[in-house]
Amino acid sequence: MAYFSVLDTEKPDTTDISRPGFFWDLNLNQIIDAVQQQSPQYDVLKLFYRYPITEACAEYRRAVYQDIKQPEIYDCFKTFSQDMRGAAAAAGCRDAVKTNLQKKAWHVSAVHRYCTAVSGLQAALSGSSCKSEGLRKLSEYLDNYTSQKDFQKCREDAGAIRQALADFHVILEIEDNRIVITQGRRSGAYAGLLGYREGAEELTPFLGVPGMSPLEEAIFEAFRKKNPEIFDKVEDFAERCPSCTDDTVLRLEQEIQYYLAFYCFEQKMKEQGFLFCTPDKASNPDMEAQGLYDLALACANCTRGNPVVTNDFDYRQGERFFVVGGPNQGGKTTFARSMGQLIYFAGMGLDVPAERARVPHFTALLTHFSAEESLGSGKGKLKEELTRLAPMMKEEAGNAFVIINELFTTAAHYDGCIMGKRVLEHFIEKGCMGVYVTHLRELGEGIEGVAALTAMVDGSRERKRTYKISREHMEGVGYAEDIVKKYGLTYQELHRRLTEDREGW
Amino acid sequence: MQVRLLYPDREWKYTGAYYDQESVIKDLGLSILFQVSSRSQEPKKGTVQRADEADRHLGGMLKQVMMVPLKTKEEIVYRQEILRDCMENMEFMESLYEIAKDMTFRWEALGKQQLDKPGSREKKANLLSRIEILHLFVNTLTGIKALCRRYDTLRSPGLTAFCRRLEEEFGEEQEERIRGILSDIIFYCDGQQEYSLKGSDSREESISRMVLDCSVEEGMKLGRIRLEEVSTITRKLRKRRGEMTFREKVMTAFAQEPMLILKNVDLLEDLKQLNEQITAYIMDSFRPLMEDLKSFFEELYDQTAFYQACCNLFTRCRHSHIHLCFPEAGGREQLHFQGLMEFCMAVYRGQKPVGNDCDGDGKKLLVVTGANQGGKSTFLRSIGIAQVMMQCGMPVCAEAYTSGIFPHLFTHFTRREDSAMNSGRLDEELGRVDGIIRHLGDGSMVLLNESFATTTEEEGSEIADDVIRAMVEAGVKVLTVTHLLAFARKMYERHLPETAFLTAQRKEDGTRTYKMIAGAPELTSFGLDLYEELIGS
Repeated sequence: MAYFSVLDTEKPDTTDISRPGFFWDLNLNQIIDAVQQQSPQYDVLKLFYRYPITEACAEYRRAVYQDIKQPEIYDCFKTFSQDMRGAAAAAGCRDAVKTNLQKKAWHVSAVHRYCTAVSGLQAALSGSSCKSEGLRKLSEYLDNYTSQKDFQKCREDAGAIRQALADFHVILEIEDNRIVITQGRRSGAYAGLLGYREGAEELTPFLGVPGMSPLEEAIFEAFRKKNPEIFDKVEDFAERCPSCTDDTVLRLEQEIQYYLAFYCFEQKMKEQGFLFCTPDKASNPDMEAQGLYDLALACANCTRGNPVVTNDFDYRQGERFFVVGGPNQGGKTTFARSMGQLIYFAGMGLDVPAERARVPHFTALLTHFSAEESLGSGKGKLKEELTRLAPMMKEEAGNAFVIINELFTTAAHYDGCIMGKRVLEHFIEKGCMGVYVTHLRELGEGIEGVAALTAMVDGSRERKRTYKISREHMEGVGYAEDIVKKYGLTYQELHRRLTEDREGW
Repeated sequence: MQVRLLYPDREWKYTGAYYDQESVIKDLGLSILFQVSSRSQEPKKGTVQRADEADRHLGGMLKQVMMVPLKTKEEIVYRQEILRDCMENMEFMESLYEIAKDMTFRWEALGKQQLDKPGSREKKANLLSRIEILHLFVNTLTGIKALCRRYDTLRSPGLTAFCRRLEEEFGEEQEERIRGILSDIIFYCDGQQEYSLKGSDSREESISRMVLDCSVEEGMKLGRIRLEEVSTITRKLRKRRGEMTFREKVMTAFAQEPMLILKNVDLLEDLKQLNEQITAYIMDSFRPLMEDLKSFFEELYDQTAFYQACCNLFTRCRHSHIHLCFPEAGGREQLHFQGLMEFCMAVYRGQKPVGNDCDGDGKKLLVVTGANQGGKSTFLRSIGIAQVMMQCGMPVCAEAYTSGIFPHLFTHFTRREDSAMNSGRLDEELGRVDGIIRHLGDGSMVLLNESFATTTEEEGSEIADDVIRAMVEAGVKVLTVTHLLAFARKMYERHLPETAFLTAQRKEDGTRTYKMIAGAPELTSFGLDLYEELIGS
């Protein structure tokens, strides 16, 4: 049978997958950790490490994700995952227990749960309104798989035995050390005396461990001598139906978590008031977004209840690079990060943290952030930066998105401008797009394809940061402040005078 | 089930006490009441008389309850009526408190035991003590019910409702059910040899008999168990053999239904565990009941302690011929009494001090001046004590006493040894006044005794004038004993209708009666009398 996956259009090379270099720079690790928490039983991380993927693949995933976002489809996959975990747990018990009879009994459960999970998903999907190629193919695959005779036989037999076991109660009549065992039902007359409420905790002294205690073993052994039928059925089933799991289905259980975990995460963020959208297609160098924000910051802030600033941007005719300047702590880096996150999630076929976005497909995402904790001398740091920059510049990526954050901070001003200019020209020539955060204002001027942006401050005397990035040029502020202070007209001073001095009026 | 002996609608809670209650206790000298009430004041009949050990719980509870004022007349009357019942049926409250106390001690012993057991035995010990505690609870309740039935002379709504609630909420049927279940699980207690009720040399043993309905779960596991039958059978002690007897072998082989006779150590251990879990499950069903009874008994022990403490005080008064009366909680503008005595002093000395009369209705400020050693402080204290006692439902040491309810009662007594002039002292004193000001509320009464004496009379008078005037204007009832004559005169000359002036009575010949009479503040309190007495005129 042909390779099928909900993540890929063809079998990918999954050897040697490690975390992409930009994860740390863009704070994606924080975001993906939060996504992973939504599906703690699965390894979701490694699915997110596989970047970049082809444009076709990204579109394939985007379509699947649109389907997953429908609650009934999401629910049926959630149920499927739970059922599959139940089957795995039963299989785990089968492997853990010692007695033969019990191994076979757990096997019945494992098969029964697995079949229930798969048939459940098959039924739910065939009746659903999914439109994506990925899920339609999956539905076909499951229709085919579940209609096979082996599968059906397994399912029916396991179900019948499971039912028979569920219907059967053992009555123990214990007097001191003598136990008489019969089959039947009792109403629980004594329990009625105890005044437990409906739904109270039940008496289940033997549950909790998969294996049998010596007493259980003795009871079943004694019972089997006179009532062998059901035990024989269990043993017979194990021989006829040793295993019926399917590799594609098992892989599906893992892969579908990519969507489920992200969707669950997206929902949680939406409940906190953060917006997401499905990016529209565009082609290089056309790109824009409204209401873009740093998702990692949003994750951290939603626990603290702080608001997160959103930004708009668009690359206009002929523009390929933004050069972002402005005051320190003004939101430049955050802006660059949020752009990187936008490219990443759009490239992964998922929703993006913005109100609206049009994003082209990039074949690579290159980032260069200065290593903040570098203890080396100025020269050493420059060397380190250039060493990291060199492979990026040599990359044969004509269609990459490049994020550069504060390059050449330790170089002389003049040198910095020259080098920065060269770097920009290099990437623009190659046809890349990107964003370049710098304190060198000159870089924004005089290079074709570069647009200068500025992190804004408000009109107040304190020059409070607004964390808004804009095409406006920064106004010259700074001289009036001293005069204001001299006359005691700052906000704090006025406040003090108006409240404390009032008592003397 | 609630006790509700202190409040008609709720249980005791030690919150909402007077601000700075330690000062109130110290200034009014209330500690003596806590001490006296902790001891039985009467030798028990039929026992050899010995110095009774103090029961600190009594004094402790009296202190707590006295320090939390009641807020309505209804609440006060509720306790007054119970106390009347106590006076007339002294043995009832004594027995009720004894039961509660005895049960608490035993219970603590059982509770301790479960904590002291180390490691693996803990759970088992816990289960056993829970069983024993439930036995104790049930027996105690039965005892209290029997006590209530013996006393049909109780009249107060509090006590009659208490007895009725017991019959209603712990009726015969409920009692039968619990005792029945407890006897069904005797096998478990007897199984633990050290707890065997019959002793180890008994010729009988208790064995379990159970019928269980077990579902079969995945993996051939016994699942949910329903109890169909649980009981304990007593039979003659049999010797256990490690091997099956010939008879047992035949029995199992030819039994119609599959039968097991457990001999193997592992299996017996498993069965023992099962027994224990079933017992625990049965005991768990009593959890809500035991929680309820736990708080019931805790409350009972605390609440009856208050009444028992009062009974001890009553006994002391009876022996000393001190008369008590139940005060009347009136409006806040009311304050009048006859024959009011300083109760703490009376209890301490075992004799009647001087009684005072006063009609202060409609007054917001009471200023007491007069000669030293004239009984001013005693007078102020006697009002404070009566007020605190009235506000916790107790009778007061007077022929009659009517006053409003002041949930915010403050005392500010400058003791002689504190009155040296010292700026640090004034700082501290005003700090306390500041604390009082910050905690004033609806229904406040402030007792000031020789306040603002830590500075010169002139300064002190000014501060007193400001503070007291501000308080009175804010609707606070202020009773002050003062030697600040400038202040007193100034107040007097204002001729405010809501201010009353009292002074220590002095006869023509200069002897003191220790009685307070209405009178203008004099310009002297320098102790001229004392001077004359010692040196001569």
